Amino acid sequence: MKHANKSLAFYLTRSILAGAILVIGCVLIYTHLYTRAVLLKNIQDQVEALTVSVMQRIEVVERTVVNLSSNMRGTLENQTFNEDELHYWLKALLNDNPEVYGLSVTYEPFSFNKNREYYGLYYYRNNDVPKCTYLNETYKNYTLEDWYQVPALTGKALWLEPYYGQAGQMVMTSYCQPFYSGDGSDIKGVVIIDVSLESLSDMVENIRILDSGYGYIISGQGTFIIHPQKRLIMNETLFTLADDLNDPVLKELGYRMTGGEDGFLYNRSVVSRKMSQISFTPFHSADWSFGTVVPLDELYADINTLNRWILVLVFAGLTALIFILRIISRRITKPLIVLAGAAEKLGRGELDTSIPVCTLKDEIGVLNQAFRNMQQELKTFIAELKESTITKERYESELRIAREIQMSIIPKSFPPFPDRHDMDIYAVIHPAKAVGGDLYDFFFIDEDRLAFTIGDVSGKGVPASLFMAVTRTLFRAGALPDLPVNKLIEQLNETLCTDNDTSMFVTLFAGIIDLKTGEIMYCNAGHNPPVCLKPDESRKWVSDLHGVPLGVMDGMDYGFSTLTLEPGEKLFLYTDGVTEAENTEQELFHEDRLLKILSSMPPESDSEEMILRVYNSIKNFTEEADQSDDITMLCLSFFGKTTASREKDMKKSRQFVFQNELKELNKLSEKLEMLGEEWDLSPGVIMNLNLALEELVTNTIFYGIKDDNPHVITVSFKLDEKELSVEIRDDGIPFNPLDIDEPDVDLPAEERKIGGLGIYLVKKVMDSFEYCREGHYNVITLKKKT
Amino acid sequence: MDIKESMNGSTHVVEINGRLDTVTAPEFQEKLLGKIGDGNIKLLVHCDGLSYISSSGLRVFLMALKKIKAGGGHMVLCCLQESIQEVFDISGFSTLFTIEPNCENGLTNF
Repeated sequence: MKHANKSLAFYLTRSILAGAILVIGCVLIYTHLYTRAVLLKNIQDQVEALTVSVMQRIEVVERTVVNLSSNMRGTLENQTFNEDELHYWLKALLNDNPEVYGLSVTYEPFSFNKNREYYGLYYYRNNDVPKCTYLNETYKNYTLEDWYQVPALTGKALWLEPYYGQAGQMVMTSYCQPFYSGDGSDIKGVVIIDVSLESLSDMVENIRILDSGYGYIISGQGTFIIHPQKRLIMNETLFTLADDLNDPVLKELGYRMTGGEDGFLYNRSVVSRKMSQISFTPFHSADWSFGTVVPLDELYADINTLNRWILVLVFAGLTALIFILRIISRRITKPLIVLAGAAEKLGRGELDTSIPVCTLKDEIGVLNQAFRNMQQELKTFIAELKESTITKERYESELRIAREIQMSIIPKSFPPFPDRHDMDIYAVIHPAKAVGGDLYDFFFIDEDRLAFTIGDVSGKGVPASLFMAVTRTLFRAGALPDLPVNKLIEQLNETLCTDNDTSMFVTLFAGIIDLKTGEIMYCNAGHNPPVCLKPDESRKWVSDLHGVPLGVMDGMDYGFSTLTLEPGEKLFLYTDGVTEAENTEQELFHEDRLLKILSSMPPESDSEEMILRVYNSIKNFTEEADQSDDITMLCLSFFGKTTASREKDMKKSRQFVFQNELKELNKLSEKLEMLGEEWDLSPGVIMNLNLALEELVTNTIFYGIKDDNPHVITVSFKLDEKELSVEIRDDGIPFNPLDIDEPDVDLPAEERKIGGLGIYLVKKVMDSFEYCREGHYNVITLKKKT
Repeated sequence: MDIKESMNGSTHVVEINGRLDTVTAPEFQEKLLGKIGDGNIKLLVHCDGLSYISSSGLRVFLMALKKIKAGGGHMVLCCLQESIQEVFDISGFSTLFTIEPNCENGLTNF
C-alpha cells in the first residue's frame, strides 16, 4: 500500500517537475542569450564612446599643432626675422599655445645669416617657464638628424615616432614641417613643434572600463606609447612582447593594429593574463592605433550575477513546487490508502470493516461511494449465501443420514453364511447421487429355506427411501415359515396400499429356495425378470409375472411360480438401474448386454465374481456418464445337497476376487491370514504366498491392464494333502510374466537395476509357476508344497 | 506400516514396523530418501518389526543404498526377521547390504 502511495505521489511530482523544469529551462536560455546580447552591446557602446572621446581629444591637439605649424610656416616664408624678433615670436607662440611643449625654427645652413652656418632656436617649457636653447649648440650638424633631414628632403610635414624627451622624463612627439623662401623654390628650414604625450597619457590611463578594463595606444611600428604598464612604453612593441609571451594571437593583434585595421578579437590581457575582449581603432594621421582591453569575466560578470540570482529563484520555486505537490498528492492518495486498506480487509472477508466517510465530491468521493455500495451488496449477498448454504448443507446431511440408515438395514457382510456350503449369495447396491429406493434382502426362514428379494421403489429421494425401508421391514416381518410367497406379497401389498397418499409403489421379486432340493417358489410383482444361469453356459429369462407393483392397488391377488435350480446353477436378479444404465450417447446398457456378459463368464465363477464383472461391464459402458439410478444386483448360486466328499472339497477350496486397484492388496493379505488360520498353514507359507500374489497382482495392475476401466482379478486356492495350488485369472492383455528376463542377483549394488525382481521372487518362493492364455483370460497357476 | 526416526550419536536410526508392500513402499521411500539427503550419512535401519517385504520394498532399500554409496555414507540393516532375511537371501540383497543380527553390532559396524 505504502509503495503504491509513494509511487503515485512520486510520478505526479516527477511529471509536473519535469514539465516545469523544461519550461523554466527554455525561458532561462532565452533570457540568458538576450541579456548577454544587450549587456555586450552596452559595453561595446561604452568602449566606442570612449574611443571617440579619446580620438577627439587627440585630434584637437593634432589639429592645433598642424595649424600652428602652417601659420609659422606662412609667417616664416613671408617675413624675415632677426634673432631678437625670432626669440620674441617663439616665446609669444609658446605662451599662446599651452598644448605645445616646445617650438623650434631650424634654418638651412647660411639661410638665417650669411655668416652663420647653423642656426636653430628652440623654446620649451621648464616648469611652465619658457626657456630657450640653441639647437646649433645641441647638435653639431642638425641637418643630419632625422627630424630635420626627412622633412627637408621630402618637402612634407611629418610626425616623429614618439621618444623620451627632456632627459627621458616624458614621452613626446614632434611635428616637423619644412618652410621655403618667398618664391617657394629654396628650402629655408624646418619648423618643429614638440607635443608632450603626458596629458594624452593621463587621459588614456584614466580610462576604466568596468573594473580593470583599460586603454592603450601603439605607434605605427607597434611600439607601446601609452599603456598602464610603464615598463612597456617605448621599450616593447606588440611583436617583441608577443615573442616574449609566446602569444601568436598577440602578434596577430600587432599586425592588425599596425595595419590600420578597425575591429576586435579575444585574447589574454597582457596585464592580468585573463581572457579579454580587445578592440582597436586606428587614428591620427600618423598610423597609431588605440586599443581597449576588457576582461571577459567582468564583461559577463553582470550576466553571471543575473544568472546566479535566477538559478536561486528557480531552485526556491521548484522546492516550493515539490512541497505543494507533496501536499496535493497526499490529499489525493490519503483517502485512496484508507480505501485500499478497507478493501484489503473486505477481501479477507471482514465485511464489517468501516469505510471512512469521504466528503470529497471528486472521483475519489465517487469511488468511496461505489465501495460502500459494494460492501453493502456483498454483505447482503454473503448473508443470503450463508443461509442457502446452511439450508443446503442441512438438506444434504439429512439425505446422507437417510442414505446411511437405508444402507444399514440391508445385509452387507459377505459371505453371510460362511458355514453353508450348499449355496453362495452375493449382492450390491451402488447408489446414485440422490437417495434412491432400491432394496434387496435375504434371510433364512427355517433351517433349509432361504427367503430373498429385490425391489425398486418408484421415484427418488427421502420418501422413496422411507418407502423402501418400510417395504423391507414388512417383508422380513411377514416372512413366516408356513406362508407361501404369494401370500406374503399380497399381505405386503395390502399394508403398503393402506393410507398410501403419495401413490408410491414398489416393483418386487421375492423367492424362497429350499436348499435341500433347489426348488424356488417365487412371485414377481412388476419387477425385471431375473436370469437363470446353467453351467453349460445356457441361460433363460425367468419372465413369469404375477401382478402389478405393490402399493398400486389394494385387494389384488398374486400368484406364484416355481423353478428348480440344479447344482451349479445360478439365479441373477437386478433392478432397472442395470439395464437402463445410460452412456454419454444416451444408449441403454440393455438386457442383451447383460445376457452377453453373464454368458461369457467362466462356469466356476462365484456369485461375487459374477456381480463384480457385470458392474465393471456397466462402468465400461457408461464411462463418464453420471449414474442416474441405483444399480442393485443379487446373485444366488446353488450347489445342492452336500455329500461328505463335496463337503471336504468345499472346505479345501476357496476363491477371492479383487478389483484392479492397489488398495485391494490389503484385502489380499487379510484373506490370506484368514485362509492360513482356517487351513492351518505355516506363517512362512502364508508370507511366501502373499509375496508371490502381491507381485503377480501388482504386475497385472501395472502392466496387464492398459485401459482405465475397472477389471476383476480372481484368485482361487485349492489344498490337497501334499500341496497348495493357486490360480490367478485376469482379463487384461496377454501377458506372460515368465517372458521377463531374470535379474542378475550377483551384481554389486551400483549395477543392480531398480526393479525386475518381482517375478524372480515368485519363481523362487513357489515350487511351480505356469502361465497360459485361456480365451480372454491370463491364467497363472502356482504350486507350493505344504 | 509405521516408521520411527531417531539419532544414536552420529548415526541416524530408522525403525520400520509392519508391512512393506506395494501400497506402503512409496511412503517409506519418501521418508528414507528424504532422510538420506545428499547421501553422506550413517544410517541404521532397524528391521525388528518388519513383518513382510515384497519387491517394492526391496527396491526402496536398493535405491537408498545406491544414494548413500554415491554420497559417501554407510548403511547397515539389523535385526531382520527370518522370513525377511530369506527374501533378502533369495534376491541376492544379502550380499549387497551389511546386515547385522542385533542392534549393538549394527551401531558399531560403520
